[in-house]
Amino acid sequence: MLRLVTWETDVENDIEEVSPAQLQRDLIERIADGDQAAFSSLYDHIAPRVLGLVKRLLRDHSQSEEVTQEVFLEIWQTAPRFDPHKGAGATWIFTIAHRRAVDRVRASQASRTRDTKIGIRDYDPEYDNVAESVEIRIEHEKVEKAMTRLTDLQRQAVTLAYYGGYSHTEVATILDVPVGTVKTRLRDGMIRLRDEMGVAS
Amino acid sequence: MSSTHDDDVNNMTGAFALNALSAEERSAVEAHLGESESMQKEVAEMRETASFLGRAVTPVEPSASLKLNLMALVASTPQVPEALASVSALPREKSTSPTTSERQAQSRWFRRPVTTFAAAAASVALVIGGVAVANTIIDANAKLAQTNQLVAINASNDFQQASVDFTGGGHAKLVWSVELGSSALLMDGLALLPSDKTYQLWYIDAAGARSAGTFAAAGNGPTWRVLDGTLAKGNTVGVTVEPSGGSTSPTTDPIIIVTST
Repeated sequence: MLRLVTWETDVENDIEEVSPAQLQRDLIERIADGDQAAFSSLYDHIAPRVLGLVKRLLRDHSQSEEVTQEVFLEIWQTAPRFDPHKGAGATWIFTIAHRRAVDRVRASQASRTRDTKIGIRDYDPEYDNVAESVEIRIEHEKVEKAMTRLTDLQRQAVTLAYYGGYSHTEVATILDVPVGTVKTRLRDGMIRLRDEMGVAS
Repeated sequence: MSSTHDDDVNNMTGAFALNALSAEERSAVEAHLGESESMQKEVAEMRETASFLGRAVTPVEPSASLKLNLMALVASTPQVPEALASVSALPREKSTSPTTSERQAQSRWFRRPVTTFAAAAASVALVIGGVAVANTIIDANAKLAQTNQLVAINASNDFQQASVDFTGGGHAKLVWSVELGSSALLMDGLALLPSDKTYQLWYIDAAGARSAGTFAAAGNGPTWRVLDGTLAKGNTVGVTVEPSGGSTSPTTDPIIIVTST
């Protein structure tokens, strides 16, 4: 029998049972009160994953560190308006990280037109075999499994947009399909992923 | 029944959550979001879905200096008050193509009204200045100017940095911009000095040492100080222990020496 566990529950737990989601939410609430030690803990807890994502898009290490610094400064500054009812702490953090990484990709495009052919490489999620925590491996497998449920076009479009930081018009150029089709595939691809991963608000 | 335009906007939720829209389309979706609860729900779910894609990526270990830098910035950067949240929400997304430094400036509160910023900085200074520093408005303003300058260095186009370890297990990082002629030294593990002594910063070159200001070690957490005067390309920066009030030239050997390139 499967037993459902709700991570976001408010029930008092033993310290051993505090989930990463609860830990993050508690830390963000303390950061909202100006707690620098909580900020330090959150940083230690999640900075390597934020940098991992940013570097996935930017590739350049020092630029990725700069963007990661912007991300954490934004976390510090805007923690008072984080609303746990609107989503998990990790969602909030990765949303900020992805948006800032994409901003940087677009900003650097102004001086250097990206070769859309290079984008083809970005399909490959490039998951490495390096040691990862159990938590990350589970999430990784969850995404990988859900990805296999997408059509090729959905998977390519979502992967290029998210991991490559490409706009829908760039995705259309790379995949040689109309922009309208890309928008639709991004939406139905994300809906499929949402359902496969059991995300519901 | 919805118009073609509405259908188009409704179709953009996936691209919106993946940050794949143009600035104009993004604004169109945002405007629509306020009117449609079902669309809000769909976007929230897609954002969470997208975050799972982010969480699946292999972590990369950041350099030690990134945290040092951040903790110094955090110690002196005001937070958005909760009450202002709705006013200041997503200010960046309206502008079509701000430069990187503009965005950084906005995100770092350069655009906030000066009074709000100074008041917030004063309260921050009260919190962090427990040791008898920065209780007056003048000190708070000086602290604010220092903070603004550190942020400007970090946001500069020619930002550079160099790190050294120093005796006693400490770590120092010099950050600078030749364009701005400005630099700051960030230090971790700096010992507190007795009240009759002070740390003093120096620019050192072939002509000798020029004072760049004095400072005290932070009680806990990193210490940082923007250097007085102008940094020239290739200057070496040193820190000595001097009698309280500082000296006109160094009277002890430097405990920290970092060279800008």
